[in-house]
Amino acid sequence: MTDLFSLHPFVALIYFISVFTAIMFSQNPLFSVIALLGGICFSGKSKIHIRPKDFGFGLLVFLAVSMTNPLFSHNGVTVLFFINNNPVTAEAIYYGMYLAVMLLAVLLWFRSFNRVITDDKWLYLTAKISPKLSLLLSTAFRFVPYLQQQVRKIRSAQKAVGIFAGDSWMDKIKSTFNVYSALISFGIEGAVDVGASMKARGYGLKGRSNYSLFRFRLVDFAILCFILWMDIALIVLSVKADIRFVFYPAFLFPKAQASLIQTVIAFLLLCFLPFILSVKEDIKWRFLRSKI
Amino acid sequence: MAFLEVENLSFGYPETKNKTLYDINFTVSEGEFCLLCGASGCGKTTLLKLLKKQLSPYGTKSGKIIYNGTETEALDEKTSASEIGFIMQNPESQIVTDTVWHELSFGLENLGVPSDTIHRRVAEIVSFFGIGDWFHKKTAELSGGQKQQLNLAAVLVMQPKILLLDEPTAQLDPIASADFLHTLQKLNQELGLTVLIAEHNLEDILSVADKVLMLENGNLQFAGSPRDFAGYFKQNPDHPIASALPAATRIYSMLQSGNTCPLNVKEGRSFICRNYGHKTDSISTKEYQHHDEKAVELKKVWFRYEKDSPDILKGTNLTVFQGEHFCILGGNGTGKTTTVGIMAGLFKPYSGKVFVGGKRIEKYAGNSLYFQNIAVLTQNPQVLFLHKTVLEDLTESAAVFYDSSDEGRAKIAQISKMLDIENLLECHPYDLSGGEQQKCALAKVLIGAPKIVLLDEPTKALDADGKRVIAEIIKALKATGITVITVTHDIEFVAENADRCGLFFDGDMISVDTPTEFFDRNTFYTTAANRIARGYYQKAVTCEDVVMLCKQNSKDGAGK
Amino acid sequence: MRTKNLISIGVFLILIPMLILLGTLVFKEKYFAYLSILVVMLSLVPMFFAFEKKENSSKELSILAVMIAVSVVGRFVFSWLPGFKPVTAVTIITAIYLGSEAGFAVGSLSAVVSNFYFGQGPWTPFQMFSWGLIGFLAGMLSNPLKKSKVFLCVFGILAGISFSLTMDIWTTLWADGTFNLSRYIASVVTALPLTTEYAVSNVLFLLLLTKPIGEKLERVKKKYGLFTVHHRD
Repeated sequence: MTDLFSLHPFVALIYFISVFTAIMFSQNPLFSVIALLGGICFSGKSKIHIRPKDFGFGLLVFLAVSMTNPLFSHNGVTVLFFINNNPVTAEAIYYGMYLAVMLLAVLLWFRSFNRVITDDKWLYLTAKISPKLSLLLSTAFRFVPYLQQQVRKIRSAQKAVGIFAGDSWMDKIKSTFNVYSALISFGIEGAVDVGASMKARGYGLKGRSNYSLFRFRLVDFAILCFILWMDIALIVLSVKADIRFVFYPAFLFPKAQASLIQTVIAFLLLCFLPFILSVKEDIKWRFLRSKI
Repeated sequence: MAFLEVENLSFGYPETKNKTLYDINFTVSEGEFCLLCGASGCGKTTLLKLLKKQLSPYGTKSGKIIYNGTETEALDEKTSASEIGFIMQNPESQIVTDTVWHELSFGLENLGVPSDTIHRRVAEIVSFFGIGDWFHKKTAELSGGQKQQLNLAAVLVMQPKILLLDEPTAQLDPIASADFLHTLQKLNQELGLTVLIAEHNLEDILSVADKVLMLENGNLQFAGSPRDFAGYFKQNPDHPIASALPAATRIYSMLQSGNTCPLNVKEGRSFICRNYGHKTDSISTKEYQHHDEKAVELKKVWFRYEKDSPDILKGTNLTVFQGEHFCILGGNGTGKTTTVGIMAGLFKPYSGKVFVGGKRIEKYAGNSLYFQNIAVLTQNPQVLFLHKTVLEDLTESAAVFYDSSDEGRAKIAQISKMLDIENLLECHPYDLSGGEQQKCALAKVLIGAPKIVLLDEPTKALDADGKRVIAEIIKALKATGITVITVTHDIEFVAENADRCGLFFDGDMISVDTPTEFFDRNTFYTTAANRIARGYYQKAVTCEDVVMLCKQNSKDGAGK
Repeated sequence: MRTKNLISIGVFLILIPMLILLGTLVFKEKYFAYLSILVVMLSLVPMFFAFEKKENSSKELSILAVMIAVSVVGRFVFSWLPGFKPVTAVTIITAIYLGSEAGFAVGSLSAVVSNFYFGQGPWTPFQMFSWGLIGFLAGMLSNPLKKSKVFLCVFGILAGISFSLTMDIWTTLWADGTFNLSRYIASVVTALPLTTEYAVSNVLFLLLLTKPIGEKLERVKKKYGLFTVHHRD
């Protein structure tokens, strides 16, 4: 499998950083739209899914941001009308729309980020920078479900002896605080045991090593190279030619030139990379199955 | 030369007058399977912890502990960490990381083993334990038995030479604990791993052990072979540990016969057949008379936790009569605890009727269901305590049920006298032993003066003496007219204490009967005493039953 | 210890604003949102570096882990009361009893861990920064906070307000791409009910939880000699 989910965590992280950076630095509505479309295609194709209500939420964010921008920003030369003696400009409205699309693109890609960079990948990446921090996080992750389970146990045990079984708000608040405070005692008590278990298994010895299940494969290397190639292309091209779309004080379109088109292509490839990988995987499997 | 040598070891915790261990001397040879027993609080845990440098408690210590020729204190950290493996009682509290694979590699990472070697060793241990299926799982998703297997694997991956285990099966159900002991036996026999294990239930383990050590109040009371150990109780049949012995051994020591002592069911069977006849082959049992009033009744109850989850209860019918002790037996995850939750109004069935005290459970408003009516002692007594002292918790409960604080105080006084916990009231609940915690939790359950008490695994993790105390309390409750419903895995406990029992299987209660009838009709799921006497005597379910029949048969002159 | 703490404060209070200033000079201010994330992340680095270098016993580590888990689970336990997040309180209490570094670690990592359940986003570094800083300062002020309930409450209120104000900076940068003062004021005003709730819930949590948790932490700390200056032999 070589889709975004199965890539080496490091490659996946570089990918997301590249996309986020490109979206935010491009200052060009076209790029935001590309990123948004790339995100929708990937999410829709993979196990992340987009539900109808997500579109509703997106629309809401779009309206909120694009409508409020002219209220706060009075830049721009094309004054449409006045509200409370403040000018509302066409530029500000368009800028708001651009911001909204960019925001949605980033939120959408962060949703993918949350699903792709799972806690185990996160721990792996953290371990590369600080092994101790990674272990601390891992132990914290181990405690969370353990304590949640304990909360459920304490609640039902208390209820079944008739304490705070009433429905009043005061009862509910009081019992929640009591349960929480008992949970903390229980947690600290458990932490002492876990600490002993860590020590018994040699934690604190000099020269701790680091083991992980992630292997850097050739395909990871290839995809990493591709991502970096696109990154470098984007940087070089955007330095060479100004691709920015200027909103204030008046619209200024970037000049239609070869390097602009090249930049757009590079960004298209970058944003649609996960989608292409998923589709390729589908085709491969369909092909393999037909041979069986 | 002995592998592990303990010489004149004494130990006392700081700020306590009495020592915990007095002048202990014993040796363990390489490859030996050594069993450490004793009542709870006898110093087993302290002794085991002293044997591992990293866990050794603060306090005043004298005497020597020599591991493989070196005193443990002089042992270098790495050797001590890897060669002396330690497994604690609670499977939960030893897990450090969030995933199975990381848990397995954790110890080796600490030792600084290179990544490739870790990979190989982890692969090896996973294959040995056959846990490949859950290698990628989160540790939180495992069952208690799997967690303890994981703890064992995570220690073994460090290639220890000796394994110290502190009541590793106390928190497990019988199937999981048998699995665990089986693995341990395999490690000992196939790999020659030295094992020193503290256990309180000796039924399955005594015949496996090469050597037995028994601690009593910090003194080493006995050290020798299992057969000599069993023989020791022939002289001391009333010793508190005696009731923890395997059924065969107990029958033998109660009969005061002079032959070699049997240690397991197989030996017990041949011991009885050889020495006693079976002219009188059945004990006369009285017809069980129950009260006419029903305490709890379930009628065709169906329940599932979520809309799309499978049914847990599938048309369950159950009637418990007033004043009886009813036990619900059954495997893990069959729905025993769920049934308790339904009877206690914690879960609502989607179909069927539940009656408590003759009234539909829905008819109880607010917390009236719990006032002088029904109360549950949940599986882990710790979850009942929210405050710093036992008294604070009891007072909080009393405030819920009684208008005047005098009334509440009187109730607390009455209950704590009955349960004999007056000296524990000022203690922090977490500082109490398992048995004490259980009693204090029960006090909290009884504050609301319930007529029906539900107990979920009340004997879990208790030693023989703790179980005896619980059994006595149940009798005392019954004497005051309280109905007791117990959910348990503990077959022996049911055989000795239940009025009626039933097996929970596939969402329903089946074969509800008196324990004598229930176990006598079973072949596999029955007490060790019953398995010993199977086909030879009828309706002999407890050790006492078997002993009685043996004695009758020898009196009749049928003994050989 | 003292000088080390001063250096850490220096990092927080001097270096970070300087970095932000430098950032605005070098880059155009349009990239402010992105830059702010980078800067906030950078500001966390020295603290984590110090944490990595410091020798912690296994029990110290497991107690930090459980305090993180406790504050995360608190978000679930109190989820039926909107705005009631015990993270700030647990961070402050941990800091008071176990010190600045522990407070920082618990505060900042609670943000990371809880966002694995509530959603990671560009706000994660900001939450890490805010909660980490609150923990760090509470540790510095441990003695007065332990002694005076009034001061504790004031600290809780300030922590709630400043947490909200910092998160509003993020909202503004995000919605505008630049620091637009009028939008900032608008978002501060719209967030006023939430800010009040933060402050009130912090005080409530601190008043109710400081004693029971503090006693527990103090007991464990004494019993096992944790979170004191380590002497290497």
